[in-house]
Amino acid sequence: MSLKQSALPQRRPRINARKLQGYQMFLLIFPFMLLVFLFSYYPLHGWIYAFYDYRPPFKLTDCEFVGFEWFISMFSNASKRKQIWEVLCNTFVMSGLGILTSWLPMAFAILLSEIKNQPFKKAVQTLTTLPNFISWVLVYSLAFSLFSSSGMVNNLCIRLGLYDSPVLYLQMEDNVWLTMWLWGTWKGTGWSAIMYIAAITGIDQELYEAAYVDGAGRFRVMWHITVPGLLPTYFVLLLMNVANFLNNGVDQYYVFQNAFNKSKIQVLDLFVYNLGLGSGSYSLATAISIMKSIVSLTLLFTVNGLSKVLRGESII
Amino acid sequence: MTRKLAKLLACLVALTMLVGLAACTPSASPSTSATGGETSSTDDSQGGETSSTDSSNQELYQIEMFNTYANYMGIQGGWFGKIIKDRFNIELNIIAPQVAGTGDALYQTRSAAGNLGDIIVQPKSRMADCFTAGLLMDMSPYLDDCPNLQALEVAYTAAADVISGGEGVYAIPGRVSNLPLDEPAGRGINPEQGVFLRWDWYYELGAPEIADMDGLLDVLAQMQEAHPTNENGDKVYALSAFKDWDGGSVRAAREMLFLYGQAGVQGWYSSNYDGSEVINYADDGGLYYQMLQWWNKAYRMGLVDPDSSTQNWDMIASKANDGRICFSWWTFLGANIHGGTYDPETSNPGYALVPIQNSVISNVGYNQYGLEGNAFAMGSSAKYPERIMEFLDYYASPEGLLETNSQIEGVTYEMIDGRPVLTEFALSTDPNKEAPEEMGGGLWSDGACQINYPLVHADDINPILGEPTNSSLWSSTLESGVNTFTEQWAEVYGTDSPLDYLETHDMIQVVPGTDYTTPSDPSDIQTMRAQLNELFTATGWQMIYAESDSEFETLWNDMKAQLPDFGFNEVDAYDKAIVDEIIAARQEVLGK
Repeated sequence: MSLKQSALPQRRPRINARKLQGYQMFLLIFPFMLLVFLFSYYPLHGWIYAFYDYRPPFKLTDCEFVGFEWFISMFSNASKRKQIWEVLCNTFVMSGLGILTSWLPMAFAILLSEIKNQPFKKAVQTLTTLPNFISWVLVYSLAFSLFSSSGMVNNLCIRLGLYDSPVLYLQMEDNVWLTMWLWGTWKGTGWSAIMYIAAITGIDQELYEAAYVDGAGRFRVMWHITVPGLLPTYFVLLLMNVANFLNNGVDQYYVFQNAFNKSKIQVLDLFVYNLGLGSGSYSLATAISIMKSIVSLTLLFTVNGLSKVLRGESII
Repeated sequence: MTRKLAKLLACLVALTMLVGLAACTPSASPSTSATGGETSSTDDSQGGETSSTDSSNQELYQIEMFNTYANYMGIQGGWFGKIIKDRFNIELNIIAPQVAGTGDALYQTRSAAGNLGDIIVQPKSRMADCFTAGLLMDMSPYLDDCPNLQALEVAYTAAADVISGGEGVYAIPGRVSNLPLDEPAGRGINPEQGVFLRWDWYYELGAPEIADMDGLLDVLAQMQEAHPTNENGDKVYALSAFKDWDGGSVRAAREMLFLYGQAGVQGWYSSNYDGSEVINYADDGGLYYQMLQWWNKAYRMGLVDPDSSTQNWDMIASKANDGRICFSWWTFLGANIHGGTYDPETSNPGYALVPIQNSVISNVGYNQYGLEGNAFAMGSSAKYPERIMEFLDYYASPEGLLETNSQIEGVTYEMIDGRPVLTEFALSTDPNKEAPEEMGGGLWSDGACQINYPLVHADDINPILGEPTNSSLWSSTLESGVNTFTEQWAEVYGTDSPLDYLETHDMIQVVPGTDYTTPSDPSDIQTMRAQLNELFTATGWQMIYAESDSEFETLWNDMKAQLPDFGFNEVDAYDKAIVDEIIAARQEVLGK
């Protein structure tokens, strides 16, 4: 009895302390949960617009409820299916190109780190990082002054007598995927390389010394020490890229789009923007972005399933 | 110690987030963004209705004007800004969707947010929606003090029937005129649309008679060949177009329909003046198709500015100002640039109407219900309605009309023997001329009124002058405005006035003005139309830039094949019903 009596009052404060700690931990994480809720879950209530026949300036309550009509109309005939397919194709190709060449920043970082002349190295790094901070609107105006009909390239070529009339580079449809990838790479490579440069400095210097002692040349060292050292970082970034497969963003394609390249440049996000804000079809645009979420979820579960089968563990 | 610190930190972070959140929630107080100063908020609570009005007059009031017609975005500055600030202590903040360049997005987001602006200038068809959504304020309680607005009663009563079911006055139509409805409402002595060529280069060729559109291309080709660059050495293209006013079809091609008696009525429908010939842009081999073909032919002849599909209004307007294009289809982009005071002896390039022999220009007539289907309204959240009405009344007054048309007595005109006469200052074509010091200085052109859409038509008689507000119709201008250019034109065509020439040669048809207001699209039609519009415009531009006849044909056929899938038949049926109503209204006016 006496044991029990003495044990109880001892235990109580311990439980309270744990609870208290729990509250503290909760308080710590609460702001972030709130942020996640605000920015990731709260906007989902906007999905309701996809089920109404919404038209500004009317309130949603004054609009007709139409159920799944917009979802059905999206695939209702060949031309619409073709359009959606075209848009998905653009999205997949442009994201795919990005993922296929996602090793470029790593290669760039490795090569950059091999430069021994510090001032030159710094200059290169600064110059390649800078484009990341230029907004797409300014990039477009740069592209316009270079490649428009009265731009520098056309002026130069005409003066040199290479051709008579200006070539409309910005209206070309055939190589949009490539040029978009080139602009994106020009803008992003230097910035993405920063992560790898940081990772390179984290590789144990003794490994390099040991390799040199063993008689490895510069390229062998790069291949057998730097690259394996960077691979974990690379895979983390790759996974994050895959997760963003459908999110190509709007701004780059928005500024470069015109009547001539639209069928090749319109990615999902831009398509939704053009439909919704561009032409006021908010309900249809919402329906399409819901479809996008569904495709994303499917992709995620597919990758997750693959991971389960191949590695025996799941991502989520 | 560290745990305490962490505790403190956690609490602090949580607190700041909460505060941040609270700041994000909308406050209950009325929006203050529309008002410049908040100094008199205490005054408002004192005294009765009148005293608060008085105190509100002392406060600088920034009026937000949502204006679908303006080509300028921002605060109205310069000499006109000074006039309204001195008189009403107001500032005009113009919000221009046309400048913002995002289509209807600005209208949709602002209207969905419940406040379009304090003054709203937009199509009447939208006003009905805005009325239903409670975005407009009834102006009728304030009209008693607005004699100039009362003069527009016929127009706003008819508009009220459509917009608010006859209740109150929620919108006042613009460009209202009391002139005869069978007279063409042009821009002074010129029709609204026509073929305007760079006159000096055309005259240089011996002003050859142009039989048809192909003949026009030949002349344009000769002009471009003779003048590959302008006076400043910039490349000249015979034809140039722009994309931002496209709407449902390529505007450059659509505007050519006016040359053959056709004018767009609804959707892709176009009609002649009495509705006896109704055509659709989707007609195979139809007029719209032919005009695309014409542009394509010009493109393949090397006459079309390659920037056409990408440039905006500002860019084409500056090209016209610099004489870098040979052809324009609007008076305001042609004959009326440089204030319509072109003289070949100065270095200014100018454009003049050149009649195409087989063309019959379609031109709207004066309309007592207003022209172009737009109207002025007051936003339901306007802070000082009576001050806004005071301004609108001024805007419709004879005095306001003169000032908004850049006519200031003693500066741009003088009354001589009871007639207005333009001064040297007004006639000067120097683009850098400055406003007089007492008016606040600055560039004269920059300081002009930027609203760009009047309540009363400028061709109507202005009681202050005893003549129209529009200076190109003044008797003094018509008599003494003879310079080398008008002499040359008269020598070729045997008259001073292009409108006279067209009327005497039966080359103009007047579309009668009616009080018909197009309803706004229901949402499903709007969605289908949006996608179809894009298809029409994108294909149209691609056709203009096609390199071969087969490519041109393929593009057209591909488009035609896709049309039904995007709901063309549904939209077409909807449009057809409206077209029938419009034609019925026209025939009623024509007395048929």
